[in-house]
Amino acid sequence: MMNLIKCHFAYLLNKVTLFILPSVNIIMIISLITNIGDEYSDNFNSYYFSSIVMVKICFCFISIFLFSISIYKQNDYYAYYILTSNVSRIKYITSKIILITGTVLINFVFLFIIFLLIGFLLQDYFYFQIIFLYGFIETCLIVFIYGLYGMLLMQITQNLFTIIFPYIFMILTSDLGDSLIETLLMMIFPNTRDVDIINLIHLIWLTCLLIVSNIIIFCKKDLHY
Amino acid sequence: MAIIEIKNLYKYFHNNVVLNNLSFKFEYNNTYLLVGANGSGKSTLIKIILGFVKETQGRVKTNEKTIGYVPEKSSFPEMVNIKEFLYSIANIRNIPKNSAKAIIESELSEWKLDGSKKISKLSKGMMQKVSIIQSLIHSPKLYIFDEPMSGLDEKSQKQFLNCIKNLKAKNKTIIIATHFKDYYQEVADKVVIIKEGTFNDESN
Repeated sequence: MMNLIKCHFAYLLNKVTLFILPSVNIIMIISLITNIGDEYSDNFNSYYFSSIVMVKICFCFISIFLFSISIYKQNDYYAYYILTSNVSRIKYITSKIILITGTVLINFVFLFIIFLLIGFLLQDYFYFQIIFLYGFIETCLIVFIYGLYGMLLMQITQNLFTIIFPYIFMILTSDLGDSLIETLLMMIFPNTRDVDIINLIHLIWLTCLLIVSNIIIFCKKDLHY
Repeated sequence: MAIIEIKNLYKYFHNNVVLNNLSFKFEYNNTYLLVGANGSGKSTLIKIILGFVKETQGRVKTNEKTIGYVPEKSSFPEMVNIKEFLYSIANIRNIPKNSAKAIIESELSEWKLDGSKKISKLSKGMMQKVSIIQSLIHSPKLYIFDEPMSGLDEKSQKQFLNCIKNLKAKNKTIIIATHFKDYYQEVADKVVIIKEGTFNDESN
């Protein structure tokens, strides 16, 4: 499995990803610094909330981009070399999902540390609250979910244009109310809201469902690249 | 005994018949030429044999799981060099490090490739050579080449024919899909002609 992950990593590491990943991180760090408030109290919620919104917007882009592009026919053509090496489709796609999840997760942890560092250095009266961690975990799961939606769409359509749809859904669902339809919509296309355990369980369940769906579709579909 | 058995195979793409009731047995230790024009169904048949594409109807049984395959196009990671790529493929195929090193070094010198060269800097012909080498490093019993001479110069084409002869001498089964059967006449044991999704009577 490790050899497969290394191989996927070599393919993932191209000029485009090497440009996009650092660029988005730099934009994120600048926006975290500009989010610093000038309150002289312990009310630094504006820093936290605006950071979460920025993290969600930027990382959804990274996640959708990485998950979708990795399965796009031109980038996935090397499956022909791997699948004739006695490697099963399930192993191939699972290792790919593990790699991208790991890449996004490492980037997320890095940014969480930067968020705390900037807070401690630049925000008056800043101290660590557990809600930050929960908020970042929730955002991280949402980021994975939209990335996996991107992958699912790309597997079905093999059209680069489809990358835009999960992103649009993520933006649209960020301002939903409490009506029945809106709540149902939020269950399928979740967004950041009050952090509670039921919400986290729902996000984990949806992530697992999307991973399994992606694996099943990859195992069943024609690899006619 | 057949290495690949095809029985009443049909493949439709959006109601278009690509393969139409194909039945054939590829025997062990033979070299086959799969000849046909563009769109005749050669690549689709190969992809079904390899398990990349599912058949609409019928049955394809491949008795070898590890196959040396050279696809029509090549796809390599941009940021690594030739050797790094070949080693990563060898690792995936569980080839012990020492044997992998010996095979890779010998194939690179055989094909006159500089292993330290970045893949992004390779010409089409050089990429095709790398693609051929990756199919050889695990010494499978079955080789499938889809238009293997595409992009190769005359000298490399001769080298490829020598490579086929070597594989034949080792009793390997080889299937070469091509438009041009004349190139391979000296190595082919059997020619299978595919036309509009069916095997032509001229096949021998």
